[in-house]
Amino acid sequence: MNLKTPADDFSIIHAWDPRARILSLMLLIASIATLQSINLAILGLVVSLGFLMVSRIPLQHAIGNMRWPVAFLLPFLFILPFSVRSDAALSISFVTISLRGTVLGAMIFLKGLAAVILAQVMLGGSSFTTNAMALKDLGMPDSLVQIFIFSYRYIDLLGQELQSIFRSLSSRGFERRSGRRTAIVYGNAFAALLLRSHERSERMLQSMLSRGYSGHLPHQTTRSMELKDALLGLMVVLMAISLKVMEAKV
Amino acid sequence: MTYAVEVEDLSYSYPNGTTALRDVSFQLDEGGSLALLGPNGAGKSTLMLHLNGLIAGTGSVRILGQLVRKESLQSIRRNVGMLFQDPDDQLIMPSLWEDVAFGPRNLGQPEDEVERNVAWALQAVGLADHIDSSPQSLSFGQKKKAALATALSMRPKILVLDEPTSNLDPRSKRDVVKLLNQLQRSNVTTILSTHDVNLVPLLAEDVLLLNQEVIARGKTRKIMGERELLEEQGLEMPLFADLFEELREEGRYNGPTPFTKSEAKDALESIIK
Repeated sequence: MNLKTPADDFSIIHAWDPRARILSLMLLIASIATLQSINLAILGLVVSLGFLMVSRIPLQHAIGNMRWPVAFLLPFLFILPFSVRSDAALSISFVTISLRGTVLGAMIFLKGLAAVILAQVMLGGSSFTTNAMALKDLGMPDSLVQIFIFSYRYIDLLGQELQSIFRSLSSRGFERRSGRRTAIVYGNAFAALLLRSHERSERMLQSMLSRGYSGHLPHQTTRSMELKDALLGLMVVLMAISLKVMEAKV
Repeated sequence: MTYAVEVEDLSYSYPNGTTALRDVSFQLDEGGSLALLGPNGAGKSTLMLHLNGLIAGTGSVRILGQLVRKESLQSIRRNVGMLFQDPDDQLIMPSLWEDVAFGPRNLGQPEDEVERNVAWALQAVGLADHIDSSPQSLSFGQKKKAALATALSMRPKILVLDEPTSNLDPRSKRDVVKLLNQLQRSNVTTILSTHDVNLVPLLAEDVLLLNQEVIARGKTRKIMGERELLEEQGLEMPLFADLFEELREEGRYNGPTPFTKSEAKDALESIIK
């Protein structure tokens, strides 16, 4: 998922304090994810689509980010109707579609989709670093926040280095097979990557120290939480609670 | 007299026992420019790391009169900006703006000053339009300039540059030379290492020839004109100088050794006449 979600324009989600946004939307995601009613799961999806519209994140970008999560969720939709034993919703010849399986599959799919959409809204409203810093403000340990930030930058670089290692192997006639030799070559390639990563991390640290790094990321000035941020957060929390109350009444 | 950089009897060995530097001593005036030349493994990068207190050997290093030691590191790093050889080692944050702001923020600058310095540094290297770009989306030349901006944003009085033009295409190389010349004109002291001997006369007034120990120190035009000395260290003369020194040896030229294109043109005209 591309966490740096562009928005067509600045929206109320972007203006919202990231701490309030992350905390309240996480609660809403948890509330939707634990719903046990298909009707409420549909409502949860509608709510999440509403947030997506308000956030003004381009639909194409949002759909692009949902490719892999949807690929993960789709099997539930198609496998559970045939694998869960319950009353038949439909029976054609020897194929029986289970009612409970269909509902269960649809519920998992809908809730998953809603959660992925809300996660995009939650993280797409500000830069990766701002989100990470907001998590720090919410109590996440500093070292973990730094790992997040630096990993985000270096995962790409590690991928490039691994690619160059495999290119160099191919250039020398290496072909992937399922034998012991392939396993050994792969082991060596990953060891080389680890070694390079270690050396790079030492050079990175030197470059950071040369710019005054002392073990802590300097805290960016985050604006103080305003009443409207808290109210918006409260509104989202109330939505999360309402879903659970409605579920209890059903 | 206070020097910008004063190194005295500096020696350093790697943990595996390999000697990197042996009794290295030199001084550099404020606003001066010095090129470190030497073969691979000569200790150039190791010497540079000492100037920012990133490693410590025996002997002493003084920056603007201040001894480099644990207690003075923050102040030293405020004054000495470093450009590392591989820009990917230096660009660590998710966006260019955050990367260039990393140093000033570490120095505890107020946010409005950080913003001013970041804007200035990005403008200076010509990347003002890439403020929100992620480092991985930049070309190698842009990454090199971005890495330079991360050092410039701290407004250092001394710039230490490890191979500032390596792996750059000709245009990017010209851009970097132009930028460094501008900084030198504004009295920023520069120390750089390079294997590109043709660029040395354009980038530094002085040369320090290093091969674990100081082999020679002097004006660029003098050192870069000494073929034997350079070849002993596995180096070579700049192309124009090399050509006209050969012509001199053949008795076909007797003017001053040219180091730049315009000097070579003048020298050629004097031969034709």
